Amino acid sequence: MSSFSRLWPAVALAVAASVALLLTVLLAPEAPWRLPVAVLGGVWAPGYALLAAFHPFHREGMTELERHALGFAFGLLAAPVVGLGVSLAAGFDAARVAGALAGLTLAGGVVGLLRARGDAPWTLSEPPGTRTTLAVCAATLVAASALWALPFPGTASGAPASLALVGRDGTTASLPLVVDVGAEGGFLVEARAGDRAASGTLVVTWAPAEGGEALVLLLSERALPAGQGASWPVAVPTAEPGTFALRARWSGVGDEGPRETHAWVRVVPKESEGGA
Amino acid sequence: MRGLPPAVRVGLLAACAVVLFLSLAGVGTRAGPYAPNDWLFSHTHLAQRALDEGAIPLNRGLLSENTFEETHGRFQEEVGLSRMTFYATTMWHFWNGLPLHPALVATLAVLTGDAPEDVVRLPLGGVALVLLAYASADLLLGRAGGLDARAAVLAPFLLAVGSAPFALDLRVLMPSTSLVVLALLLHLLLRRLLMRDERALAFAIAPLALLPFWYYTVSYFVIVLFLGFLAANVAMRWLRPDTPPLVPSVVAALVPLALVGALFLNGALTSHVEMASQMSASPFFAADAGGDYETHLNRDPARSALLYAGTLMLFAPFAAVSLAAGVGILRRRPVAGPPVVFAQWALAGAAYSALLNGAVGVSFLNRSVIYLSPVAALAAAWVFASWWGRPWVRGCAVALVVVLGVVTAAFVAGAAPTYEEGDRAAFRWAAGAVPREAVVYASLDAASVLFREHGFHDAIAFHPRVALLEDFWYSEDPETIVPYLASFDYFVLRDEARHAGFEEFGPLREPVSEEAYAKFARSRDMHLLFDNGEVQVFRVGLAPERLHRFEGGSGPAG
Repeated sequence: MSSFSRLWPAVALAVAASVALLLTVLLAPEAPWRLPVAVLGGVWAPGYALLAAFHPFHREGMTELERHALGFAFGLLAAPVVGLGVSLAAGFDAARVAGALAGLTLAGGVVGLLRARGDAPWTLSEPPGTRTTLAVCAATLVAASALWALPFPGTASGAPASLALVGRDGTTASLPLVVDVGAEGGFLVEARAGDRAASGTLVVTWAPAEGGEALVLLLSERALPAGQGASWPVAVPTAEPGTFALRARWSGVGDEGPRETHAWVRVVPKESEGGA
Repeated sequence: MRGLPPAVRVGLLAACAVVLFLSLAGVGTRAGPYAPNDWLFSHTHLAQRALDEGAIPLNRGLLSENTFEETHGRFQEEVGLSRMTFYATTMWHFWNGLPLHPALVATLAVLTGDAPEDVVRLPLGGVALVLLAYASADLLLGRAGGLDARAAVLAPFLLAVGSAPFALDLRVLMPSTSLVVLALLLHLLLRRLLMRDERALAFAIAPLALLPFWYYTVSYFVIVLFLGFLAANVAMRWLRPDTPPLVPSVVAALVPLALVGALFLNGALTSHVEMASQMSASPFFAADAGGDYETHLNRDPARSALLYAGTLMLFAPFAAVSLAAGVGILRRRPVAGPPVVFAQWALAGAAYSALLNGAVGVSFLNRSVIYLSPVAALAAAWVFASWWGRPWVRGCAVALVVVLGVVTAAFVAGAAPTYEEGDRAAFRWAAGAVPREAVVYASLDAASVLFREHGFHDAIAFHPRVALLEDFWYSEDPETIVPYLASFDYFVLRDEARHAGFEEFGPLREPVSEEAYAKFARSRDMHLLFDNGEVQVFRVGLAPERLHRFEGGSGPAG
């Protein structure tokens, strides 16, 4: 078989793949085959064609295995260079990049065919026999299937129940963490059941940070169906200055542990305004 | 049964090795939205900007303006980041001097029509390396003489399943994809040596020009490698003058010079020397940084044992062949060409590991194992080829692939960050309740998702110092975290930190203790605003007088 006839099917395939990629991005951008065509036409094809152009067949030339492996590798290196070049020269979009890669593939393929000399085998070594090859394929399929079916930690767990403390507008930005004496300090306590219904006791307390008697601001036994949430507005007492702990504790959330949130609220005299 | 043609058999075997690599590399990352690699936020963000703006973001005036001071304003404008956080600084490097990796992600995204987030999960670099391993082994064993070349098929399978660090790194389209350049270099130098292919040298050298604009660390490896070639040439002229050099001395001297020049021009060298000097007493040996990996990497005994056992199994033939070649050269005995290549690669790997560990505390297990895995797979095939005709040797080879596959799969599955419904719910809550412009600190796995999926672009990390781990994460005293609190507004804490460890600035940290975990909730300087049992979200509430206590001390670099 002449070198030309050995080379042309692969070059033709490379050109076809790169043109198919160009046509796909132009005419059928949503096509399900776009990914494999992109890898073949955008990575392997330009690399293979460039290699054919710069390193043509000859008697001591590359094996087919080398040619495909090196072609894929060179294609992977060429892709960002082409992408960057197109971006700098004409703007970055699919048609321009695919067009540039198709042009590169076509040019490389033609030069490669013109320069083709000699012939090359698939490998220098004798590949394993048919039975061994098929056995390897079967073992690979079994191993790959097993790896694919491996359970992943955490993916089976359901959504847990949650407790949150936010400002009246539902965000943390509006939390009144520093409040003037006598001013209104409004919080929102949000509880949400996870994948399972949640029931339990929600207690919100207010106590001096340095210790002392806690004032219960809210006590609720409301049960929440799965996936449902509820919120409770809580106004904190601001008559006395000092630093206070606002604590929310939702206990008995199914078999999950309690949920707890807290904020350290500084109640300050009006004349000493400060930020948290 | 009629036999399959050689082309079909070769194709099937190559495809099997690729399928094995893809299956193994995808373990633990297919089901969850967590990134298989936490640093992907940088590449996906730049690629997404390329798709949105119709131009790949990069520093177009690289040669005239490339310092951080000169360019960060333009960078922020182009990529839409308001603060120069640690993450933004990481991204700046890819915008400034390393545009090729974001360009690869953007190019593949624009060609496939997929989002950059999906494209970075295509492990095409790993596929190229597995295919090259087959081609290199076939070349090596087919031309070396006196060996059973059928053992070549072992190399791609060993590489596909043999190294957990390799699989973890190459399972995504990371900058490490530039390792393809290194594999091409190895293959083409072998080709030059074994096939007398004079054009191979040019083919090997030309792609090296991409490295300074793709990934710095591979560039440094190549610099060390070529300096090693140069040293080997000098030594061989004295010890074995009849042995032809792997690379001509002129080339061996010019390549490092050219790479250093390119790294200097794009600002990388200056910034790296500056970083090394900040982290250590001398630019090359940093007691603090080097100790980091020594004390915190792989403390889980079972996982450590797996990692070391797998690495030892893959690298033992490489080490043995390299050592034998080195001893043979020193004793002025005849040594075959390929073992001399292995020896030079091994020497460069050792020198590079020492440099990297000394300068920035990155261990052999983190980088060098990954870079040397392809040559280690080749060396293993080389060793097995001597006795390949014996059935028990082939049995051992199959057993090695199976054992390494199991070890690697177990390790990779355990190293993948879990993403549970609790994480999803907590991050969604944060997206609705926490201002997007807030500065958010979290372990890297969580911060990466907050950045990529929820638009918290001011997520931060701290400079990698042992003090951060000891003071912030592993300490049981809430007081020790105070100096860090001035650097961020919100802190997202995953429950995983006390079960499976987390990646802060290196892989596989040990878990924090229950007491260490609980100290955050005990802190008087943070408000605990969200709790779902799996994730807690804190808002910093640091009174100025609290911070004053620490003034004059050595605070963190945020």
